[in-house]
Amino acid sequence: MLDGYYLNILAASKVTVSIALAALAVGLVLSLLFALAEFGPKWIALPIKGWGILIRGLPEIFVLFVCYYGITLLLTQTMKHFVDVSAFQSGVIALSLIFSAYAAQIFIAAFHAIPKDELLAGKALGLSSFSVIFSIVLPQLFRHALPGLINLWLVLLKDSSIVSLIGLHDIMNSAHLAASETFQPFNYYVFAGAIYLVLTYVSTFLGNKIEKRFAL
Amino acid sequence: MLTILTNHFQFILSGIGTTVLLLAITIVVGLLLSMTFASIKFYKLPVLTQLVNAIVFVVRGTPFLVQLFIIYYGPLQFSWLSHSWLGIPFKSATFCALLALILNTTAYTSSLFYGAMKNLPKGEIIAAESMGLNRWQTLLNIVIPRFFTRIFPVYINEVIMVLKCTALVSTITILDVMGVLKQLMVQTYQTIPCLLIAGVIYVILTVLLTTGLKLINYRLTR
Repeated sequence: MLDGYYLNILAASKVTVSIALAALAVGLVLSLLFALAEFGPKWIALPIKGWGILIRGLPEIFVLFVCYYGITLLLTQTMKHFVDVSAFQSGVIALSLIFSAYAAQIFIAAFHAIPKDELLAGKALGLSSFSVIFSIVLPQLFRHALPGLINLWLVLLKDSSIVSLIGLHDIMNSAHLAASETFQPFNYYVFAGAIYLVLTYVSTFLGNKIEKRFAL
Repeated sequence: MLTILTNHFQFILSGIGTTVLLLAITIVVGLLLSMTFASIKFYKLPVLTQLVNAIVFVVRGTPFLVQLFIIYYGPLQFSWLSHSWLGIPFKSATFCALLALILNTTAYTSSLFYGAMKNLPKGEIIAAESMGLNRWQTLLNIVIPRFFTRIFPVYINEVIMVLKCTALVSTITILDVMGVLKQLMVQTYQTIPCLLIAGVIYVILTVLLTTGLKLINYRLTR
């Protein structure tokens, strides 16, 4: 049953997973920065808040198109020579921007869940504010944020299918290719869907394990 | 940017109309269907419960794009289907888009509704019965208002999600806001202005939707 096209689609899941993982890594860093900025002074907190609301209100496909067409055009116009931003790079940028807009909110909620007394206790024991952040705030922050982040990872994994629209050879794109060459769209799209189902199922399973391991 | 707006004003307007129409139909039908799904799970009807659970599992585990493509391109493969009357609706992209959108939103909202149904305060229902209200009065005056006030804040997010999903139906040739602006992008070679127009339209739509729904929410919870 597994002829060449099915194997192609299966192989393309590597691209889907790698773009999702790359977006996760960039997105986590960005979201921590965004969350930090919202606690900062007003002139920085307000624009960041507005940015988050903007991204959460725009369709994913729109953000992707802006990143794909917009960044290339802007860079080309400002640098005065053609700058190529690959589909993979713009996909990672778009997906991480979307991810971070949601994840920042989760981190903010998680920060509010940490009892403030613990920070004061840390200070009273003579810890510097640096070590208060690293040994008291951050470990708890991740524990509180973990369930929400796992949900967001699932959303990210599914959203990553839109990068097929800008020509990146992921699961969706190779299924589309196979479908249009063999005139068997049902088989190949269902197969693509099944791969996504397996990916999300495995993610949920691993997520539950991690959640249990780090449960408070 | 202004020249595109003035030259293709009607075209863009028709795109907004399509998006709003898709959204409205999806929300109304999705609401009814997810109430049905949630009730099936709540009353634990045999066979149907397993069916609903399977649908929800599959739909929530796959991207919207896959569902859309399976529904739009899938039936083409089977000639017995596309030649019979059953295949006729699948030839219309709008029908397929609506089917995918409704299926998607139903899967997400039905779990939401089911959770709210499970957590309805039993004491209030008993209190209403002991006050002499009959079943219909209890349902209309106690259960449904309670249910919707609990659901609504979360449901607003779901509506925005559907709006964002409608942008994806431009991939199956439907000329919604995204589809229209994508076509204009190819026609006019003015990529960034077209994208900006699309972005502004989506922002306006989201802002209008959220403020409208928040107003309703305020009225409900008052």
